[in-house]
Amino acid sequence: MVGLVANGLGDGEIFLDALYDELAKLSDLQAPLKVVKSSVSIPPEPGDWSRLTEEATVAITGFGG
Amino acid sequence: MELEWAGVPSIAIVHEEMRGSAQAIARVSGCSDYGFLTVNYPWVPIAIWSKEECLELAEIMAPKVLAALTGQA
Amino acid sequence: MTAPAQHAYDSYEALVEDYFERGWTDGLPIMPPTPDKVAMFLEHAGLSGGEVLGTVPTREVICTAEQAAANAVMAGCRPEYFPVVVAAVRAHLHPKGNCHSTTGTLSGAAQAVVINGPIRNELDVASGAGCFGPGFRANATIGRALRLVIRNVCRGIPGFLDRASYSTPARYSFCFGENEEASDWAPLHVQRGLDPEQSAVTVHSLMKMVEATDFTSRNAEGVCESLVANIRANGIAGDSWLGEDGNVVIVIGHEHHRFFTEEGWSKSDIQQYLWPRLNAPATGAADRMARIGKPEGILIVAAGGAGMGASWLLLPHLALAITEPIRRPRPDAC
Repeated sequence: MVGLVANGLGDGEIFLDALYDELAKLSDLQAPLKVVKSSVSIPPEPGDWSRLTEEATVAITGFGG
Repeated sequence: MELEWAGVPSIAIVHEEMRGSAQAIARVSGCSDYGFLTVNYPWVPIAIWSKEECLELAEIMAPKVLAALTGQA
Repeated sequence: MTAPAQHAYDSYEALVEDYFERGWTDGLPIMPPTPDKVAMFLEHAGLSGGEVLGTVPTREVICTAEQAAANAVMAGCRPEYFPVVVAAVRAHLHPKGNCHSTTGTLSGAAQAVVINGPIRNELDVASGAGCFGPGFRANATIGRALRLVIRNVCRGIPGFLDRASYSTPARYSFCFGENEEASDWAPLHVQRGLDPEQSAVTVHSLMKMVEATDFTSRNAEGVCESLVANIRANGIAGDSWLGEDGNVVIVIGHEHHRFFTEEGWSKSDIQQYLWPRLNAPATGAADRMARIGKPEGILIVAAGGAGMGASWLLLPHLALAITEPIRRPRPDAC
């Protein structure tokens, strides 16, 4: 399962969704596990973090802002 | 990086103009060799992108992300 | 600080505490203006202590080079910065720089000092990321020196002749360089008639700083339209005393600058595009006329780092932006 971690800035979430769709064309993927941080300046919520570390096999994040 | 520490292979996508900042974070976190994928102009550093820009960039980045996550980069 | 005087102190701390007590600082510690340091500063500018840099007639103020040097030392300048401070003081004390009004106003106007020419790189004046400060000695101390002159020589003391309701942290220091290397744009001082190799400062009275963000435009015209909208949201009243020569300074940020250079827009092109749109009649409270008498009155400066799709508007108080050459004693030095 691919974890997508959006920092909530700009249109990063739209980009990550599109990126997942493109990856799905290139590889056999299950559904994504998408996390949108509740604030751009703090880590994901503990529950989201647990889901990421327990369920995701790889993760994609962005940096910036 | 924290996802990596938690055992989840990860890749971070960074604008070329922000690479210095990202590398600084990596350095202070003790991961100086952490790899980043970079985006450059014409995509501006702040991701207020049109839907078309998002889709076009996603198409370009997907093979690079796949290669990085599968160790084929 | 009305007359040269020698004071002896047992320690640096005692000196600083006494300066605080006498009201000779901006609220931050200063460097001691010892006679030898003041002399060294004057030497770097090739000036005698009695040289008059300017006056404020309404305040019975005559500002000498020695007074400016003492305040430059106090601000933490290096001696080689002093010619820049001298030019900034001369510019600020130009009659149309309007020291009395811009440092006494209820609105708390500040002074923006823009440095151009080769001296920027010699002195490490920041013009890129973070250039509005803090963090850069030349920027911080040159801007602070001008403010200390305004306080200690021109009597711009809060509650006395400075009647600002709130004032602004930009009054501690506001100095930056133009990023002349970012493109082939004519630097500000060249647009104002000086030679490219002649270093210069431009001092602009600053009523209000507005960040003109535009993350979505992808071309020069789009950026210009957002600049127009942002300026007109504030309006510029103009002033009959300033006549047709009023100014606004627009600091074009890195991300916006890219569009102009990609499309081959010069500063003059931007001025010509903006001017009629700024001067168009108001259509409501949020769309006000920005009275700038001539396109050349719109001063375009390239500065700032990458990342933000933003430029900064330095909206004027009742003064002209004055450009003053930086003069140094050695003919090959400036």
